[in-house]
Amino acid sequence: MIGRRLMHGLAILLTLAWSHGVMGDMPEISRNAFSLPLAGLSDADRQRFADGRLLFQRSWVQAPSADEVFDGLGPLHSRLACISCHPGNGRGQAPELPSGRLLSMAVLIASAADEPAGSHPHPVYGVQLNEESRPGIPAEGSARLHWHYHDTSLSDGTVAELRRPEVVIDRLAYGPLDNARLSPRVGPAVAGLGLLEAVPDVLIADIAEEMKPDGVRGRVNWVRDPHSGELRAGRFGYKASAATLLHQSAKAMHVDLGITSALFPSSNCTAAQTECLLQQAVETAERVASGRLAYEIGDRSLSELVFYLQQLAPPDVPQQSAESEAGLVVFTELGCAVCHRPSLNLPDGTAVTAYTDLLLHDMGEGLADGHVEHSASGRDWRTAPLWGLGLVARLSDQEQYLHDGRARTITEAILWHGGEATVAVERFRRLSDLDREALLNFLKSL
Amino acid sequence: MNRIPYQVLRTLLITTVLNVSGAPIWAAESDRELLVMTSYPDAMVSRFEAAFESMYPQFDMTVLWRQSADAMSWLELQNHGGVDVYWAPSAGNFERLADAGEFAVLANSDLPFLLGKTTLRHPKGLYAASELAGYGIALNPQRLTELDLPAPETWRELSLPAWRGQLVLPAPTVGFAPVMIDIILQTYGWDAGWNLWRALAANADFSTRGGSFVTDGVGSGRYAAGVTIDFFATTAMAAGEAIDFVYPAFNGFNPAHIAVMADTGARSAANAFVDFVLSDAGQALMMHPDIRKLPVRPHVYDSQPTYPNPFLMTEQSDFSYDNKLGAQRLDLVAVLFEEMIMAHHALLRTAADASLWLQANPASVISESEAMSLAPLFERTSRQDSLRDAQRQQLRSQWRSSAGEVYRALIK
Repeated sequence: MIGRRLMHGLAILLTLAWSHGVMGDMPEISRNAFSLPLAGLSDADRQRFADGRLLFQRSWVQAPSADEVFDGLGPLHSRLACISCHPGNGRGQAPELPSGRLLSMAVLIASAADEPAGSHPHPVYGVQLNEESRPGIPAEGSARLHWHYHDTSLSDGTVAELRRPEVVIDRLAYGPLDNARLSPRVGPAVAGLGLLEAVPDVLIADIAEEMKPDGVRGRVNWVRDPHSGELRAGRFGYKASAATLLHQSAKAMHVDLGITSALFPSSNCTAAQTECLLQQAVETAERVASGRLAYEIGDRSLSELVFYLQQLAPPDVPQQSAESEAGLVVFTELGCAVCHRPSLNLPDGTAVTAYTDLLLHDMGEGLADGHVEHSASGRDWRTAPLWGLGLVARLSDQEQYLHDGRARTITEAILWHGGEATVAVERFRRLSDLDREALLNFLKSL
Repeated sequence: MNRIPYQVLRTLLITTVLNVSGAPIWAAESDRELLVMTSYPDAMVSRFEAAFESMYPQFDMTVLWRQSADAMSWLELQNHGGVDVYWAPSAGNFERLADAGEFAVLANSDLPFLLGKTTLRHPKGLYAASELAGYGIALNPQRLTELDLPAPETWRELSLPAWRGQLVLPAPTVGFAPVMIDIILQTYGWDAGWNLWRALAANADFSTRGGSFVTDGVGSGRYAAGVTIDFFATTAMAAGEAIDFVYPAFNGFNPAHIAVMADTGARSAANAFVDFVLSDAGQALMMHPDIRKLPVRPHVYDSQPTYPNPFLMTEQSDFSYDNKLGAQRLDLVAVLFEEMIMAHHALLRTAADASLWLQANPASVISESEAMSLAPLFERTSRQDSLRDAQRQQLRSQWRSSAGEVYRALIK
């Protein structure tokens, strides 16, 4: 096993070596694999897709600006653009080094003092650490990840090194971050979300009701949609806390970029952040005085953004080869497919081959973050879609999996599964080399 | 309650970021905090940010994003709004700021001075080129085959009748377009260049949105060709889009620049960032598939011999772009394009054959020397000046009217 310091050094070297071309070129195919539109868009819809793409990719700016579509950033924010945390519409990355900044991931914050613990924003720092800010307004703090390692063995004696992140925050600008639960999360891939949005609530509910083996349960995260007011089956976000892309997008704009909208008309400043509140108030007054809407992303722009996300095609899953079919058999026999359902069928017969049931599952203490989101407990996570899994290693600068990028291989990701997945993981540990290879090849084919 | 006057609110908005005690509150707590203003896309900036901080973990970089047209209003604030480094493709802004003494002399100024006639660094070291962009033609090979059109080798070929309706051009409001317009003017001469633009416009639709919309149009097959800046096309190609890109003969490369603000409170960090961008590692990072810029250090191309090399292309060409000349007049060139061409696009297209504009060769509404004398009037500035606004409006109206008269007479 390679020592950890050497690994850190290699991470730097590999980053620089890649940029020097020393590693040689990775096949430059499908770099836009997560960015293609669904087939069959009309010319008008293609234009709308392109308009939404601009909103997703462009950096937002602080007011006042001549750029009135894109002004209103902050005063407190995590990054400048949606694509910052969803690079190439794919996954964000956790920094490998303790000195690395969280450039495509966020640190969610919840209060541990309220009941139930982890269910409310922190009274001073709110729901997410805003590491960036408008010049003149103090940013909330600076986060780093320290990795803690431990080994685990498979039945055949193979040792796998696992790691988990510890969030360390310094330069706190608004007082101590007491009684807080921190949850670092990389930006997830955004391709195929329109198809997930189209899955009927009743289908998700029916899946939850099904009897499942091996102690697997699965629950719907019923959430109140802020636009319609209806109680809906959540499916977006790591804990399925949003049912629609409109809600998820508006929430992300608000929390990550400090952009207000009709759904989130107030700033993301907390009561303790008086300079932030003052700045936001002045900006809002200026907007209104100049005849603009009080909130920063208009309904039309937001709907274009949502349209873009809805029309992003899922990564192309090639037809299974004989080799990957053998892996699918292993996948099914282990029990993975109970939660990572190969397909969800829409009412029109479209098969959404996302490998998810969109349900919450208790994943055990190892992955728990202590954050409560509606009916999702601190140990619950929505089953992650596996489509595009095989592209992670090819398109991302680093191969990382799970919500916080802790897993550097698919094997590590599997070994972190606990709770309802315990029985399936035990079967995985007992796999022969051959079956394990078949399983991994199958997963890399997705 | 009385409404607060708009201008008072605007002033209040700007001044709330100033420390009421007089000290600049955005002054770095220490030299470790670096504020970089840029207009580069996130895919590029985030990579540079990560690589820089990896190499210099003692510094924290924050990015202030601003379109080039919008940058000056921030940089004209007290202490440049806290900006330490300005890094952007905006020749006009860099010229104005350098002339105003707003930049510090760079510690690292060892780039080649010239690439043909293209200046890569300020003669007094106040700014340096950080990357180059070339201009060319994105092509849809399938459409070319269907239309039996050869890949063009010159700009002029796009004015041929066979290209009617098959071409997309960027409107001058698209960031890279003014330089593109000026390259044609410098290549063919002032009057001949404007006439070529008329002929191209007669064959084309205009894309008024962001730069990637030209390659979108070509990639979708709606157009067989589109005039664009190279990195939009080459990143799309690297992403697997079925388009080609050619650098036609008589081309130019336009540098983007980087500079340290003279009053930076983070000089070590600022110099380190400039050093990194201009280092071999930084220049090689420009070749990342998601960035696809052209490095300004010739030897960096040795590691990727098939990568487009502007140094080789300039050696082999009879033309290179005078970016110093261009920087003086880009704003005016964009305005002339709007008034002489965009405003009369429908009229230009009524000509049965786009080559009418080349054959007739009408004189431009103003000569090149007149343009150079009027260029300062049209420089973008955040300052309100109703007199200048009125002068500009009058000239624009005059040019639009004159151009229309000439076109109508020729079409008859």
